[in-house]
Amino acid sequence: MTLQKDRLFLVLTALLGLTLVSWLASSSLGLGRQTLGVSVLVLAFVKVRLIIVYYMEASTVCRPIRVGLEGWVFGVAGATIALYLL
Amino acid sequence: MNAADDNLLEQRSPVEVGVWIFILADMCVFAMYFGVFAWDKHLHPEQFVQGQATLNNGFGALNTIVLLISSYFMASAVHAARAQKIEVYARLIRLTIVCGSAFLVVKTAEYTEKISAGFHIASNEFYRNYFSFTGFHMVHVIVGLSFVTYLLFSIRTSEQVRANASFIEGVGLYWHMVDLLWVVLFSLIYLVP
Repeated sequence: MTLQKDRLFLVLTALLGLTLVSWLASSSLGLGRQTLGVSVLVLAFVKVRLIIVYYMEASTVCRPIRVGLEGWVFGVAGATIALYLL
Repeated sequence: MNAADDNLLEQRSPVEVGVWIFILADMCVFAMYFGVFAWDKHLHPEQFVQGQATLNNGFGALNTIVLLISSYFMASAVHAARAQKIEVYARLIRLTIVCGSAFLVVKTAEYTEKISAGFHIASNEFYRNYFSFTGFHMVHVIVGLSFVTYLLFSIRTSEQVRANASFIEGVGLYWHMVDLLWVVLFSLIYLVP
């Protein structure tokens, strides 16, 4: 239970850290528009995957649902970034 | 994690599988919204640049932090329920409700600010997307919050927790889905230039 609690807290710290990085990066003028946009979207989907793996415990569900979840993360991330880069 | 914890993890009930299918379907609906937003941004770049400049990133960031913390409380509550630590479970559920309510307060303040400034759903393409997608997400928060509140008032004893283990896990999954959908909406609507 303690080990699990520590892991959940570590994930929360990572999620908050990535949010801070995205927020600060979006107000930075140093990056190009497209580089910044793609970076922010990639960070968002990394956070989504962390939530799915550690909070929703996707590794404990049956294979078809796990494949569906991974497919959603990578498929939606890819499609959203591709549409953004049009 | 103890043995009972492991056992619960290994034996997902059919109810929970049904919840997973519902969640995946809901996530697919939001995936279409993300696509619509990105496509509309491609078609009306000026409206989106101007619209995004009128948003208050502070509200969006605050709501992201609040929902991420609420997800941590919810995940911890599910683990406490599995371990039959009823008092810890109840305290974490209360904290989840506080965070969910805070999200709604911040969202209401943000909508009020926008409407007071003269922006509404028919203002332009950006605001049509902004109000409809964040509004639909807010409905999900309200539904999730209702379920979490039900947990607090209806499932209080060890016996009730044991008997409703699948329901507690299902509510937890739904709440995490609400969180992850907001993570993408926040980046897409507020941050991506």
